[in-house]
Amino acid sequence: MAEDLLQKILNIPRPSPVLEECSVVVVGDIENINVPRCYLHRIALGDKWVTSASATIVPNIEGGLWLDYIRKYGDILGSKLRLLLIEMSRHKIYVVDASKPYSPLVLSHSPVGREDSVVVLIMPGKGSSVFEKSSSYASYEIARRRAGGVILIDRDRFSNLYGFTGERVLKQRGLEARIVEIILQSLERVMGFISINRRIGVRRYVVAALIGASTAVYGDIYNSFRVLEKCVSWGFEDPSSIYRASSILTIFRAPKTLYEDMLASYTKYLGSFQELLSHEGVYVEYGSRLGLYDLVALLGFPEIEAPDHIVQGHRSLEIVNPDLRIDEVVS
Amino acid sequence: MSTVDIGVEKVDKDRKKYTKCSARLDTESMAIEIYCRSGLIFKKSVRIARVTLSPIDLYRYAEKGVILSEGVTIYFNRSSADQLLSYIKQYISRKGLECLSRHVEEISRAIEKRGEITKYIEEINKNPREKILELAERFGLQLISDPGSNPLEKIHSIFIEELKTLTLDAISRAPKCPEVPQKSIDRVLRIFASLTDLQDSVYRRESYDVIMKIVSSIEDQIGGFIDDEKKKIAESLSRRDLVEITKALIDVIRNSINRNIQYIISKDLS
Repeated sequence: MAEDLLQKILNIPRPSPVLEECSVVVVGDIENINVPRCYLHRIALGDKWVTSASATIVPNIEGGLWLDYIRKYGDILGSKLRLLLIEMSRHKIYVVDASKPYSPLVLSHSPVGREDSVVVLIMPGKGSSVFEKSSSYASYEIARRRAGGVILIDRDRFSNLYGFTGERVLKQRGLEARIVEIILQSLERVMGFISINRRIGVRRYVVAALIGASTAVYGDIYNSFRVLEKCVSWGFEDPSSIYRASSILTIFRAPKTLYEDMLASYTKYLGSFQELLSHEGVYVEYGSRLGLYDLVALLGFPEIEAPDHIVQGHRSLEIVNPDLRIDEVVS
Repeated sequence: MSTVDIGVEKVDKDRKKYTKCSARLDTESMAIEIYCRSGLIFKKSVRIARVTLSPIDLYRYAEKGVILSEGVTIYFNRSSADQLLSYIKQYISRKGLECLSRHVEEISRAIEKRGEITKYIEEINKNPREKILELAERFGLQLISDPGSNPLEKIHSIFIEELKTLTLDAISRAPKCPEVPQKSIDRVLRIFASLTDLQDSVYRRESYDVIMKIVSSIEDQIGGFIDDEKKKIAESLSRRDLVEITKALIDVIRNSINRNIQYIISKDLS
């Protein structure tokens, strides 16, 4: 009987929390992102380690380069992030300010999987320091090697773009955050798209977004699709490069009355892409006081190189710090 | 030392028969000394035997009215046998209560711990990340966050290990209780096993009826609850707090055992 009792006592239930389908890890200087059905965790720099369910503070290393953060904090950050059960989410999204010295640390020691992770990588502009450029290069390379898909946003490109919600004008970081929110609101479709694109060798994406467009401004909806080429998150040497995208996913957030027009314009717009292997349109009903609509397109390419200024910035630092080799961090 | 004299019908020892005898029962140790009148002239009362049997064996013999021990056979008439039985029952109940109470104390600790752990698991299910971080503080980050393993699984196995150590310790510290029928000890262990069913049922948020069925089975095993105990159980169940429920039930079980010890032991002796 004592043995039976022992067995009964030891037969305790397994913890079985109902977790969110997706985890969103936001790293660095990025405006608040509202993702209602996802687990959101922020990682920032501070004086000492603090880990709560909503944020992790990584202690600052005075004068530390990104590799110092990886060497010093790699194991501990990996351990801390494991506790947050990010691994158990079906989708893992990292929204990363690539320029921070701890961004490569997060990307190299987080549960980033080729099958289920997407990194939205926000690259700094040309005016950033060599340290920021080197961190960005490392973040880019690590994300490129580890994640299933990388969505690239160049902060310089967004400096002259604006969005409008009907209540407020969105600039730079506000605009970035809004675009990320719109992408994450259709996460299932986006992840499905990215997953199928891996099969055709497409892993890098840029964003083209028009937030708060209206027929009063653009007239025909097709015109707003054409304007998308001016609102791309990445500075291609040849602006028409976007029409060589291998895949495109377009999210239309618009009032129902515009749906038919949207669809027809989208079909026509697809005709501009000569090398398209896959495309998908996602309609999200969206009503605004002014009848505004949003267009967010993910343009997929097999490869997108890091911008020259980022690569050069990194190389100039690598010459004096030969340790800063990505291959030693991620194979 | 307190003794009582009980009439004896006859005694056989070493092929001799004695008729004018009495049994002196030491109510503290349950040892019996047999005194018989002997001698042709003075008929002095002399001790002819001392019988030290376990109370349970003694009970079984007394039920039949005949005690057999190391070459001595003592015959009692029915009324003397009943008198002896009543002293043995009192003794077993007294000793049994001491011993079973210590059993209850020891095993309760393990069951209470199980209640705390199950409640914690409930909380992990509600706020997984906060609770896991709390546990990492308590047990150490490296112990919970092991590369390649799920922290929830790690926590589960840490809890089991903790509970195993505590329970084995409790079982080993629980007294052997040779004075108590094994059935009574098993009954107490079974009651605790039912308590784990109750904890699991509350954890699984099963209906009140299902939970009350388990409470009823505990009540049957223990010989009934009084109204106050029933009220206490109902109150704790309404709060659905596993630690509170476990404590309330253990308290009630402890009181019921105190109250029903004679019933429990008599039932298991017969």
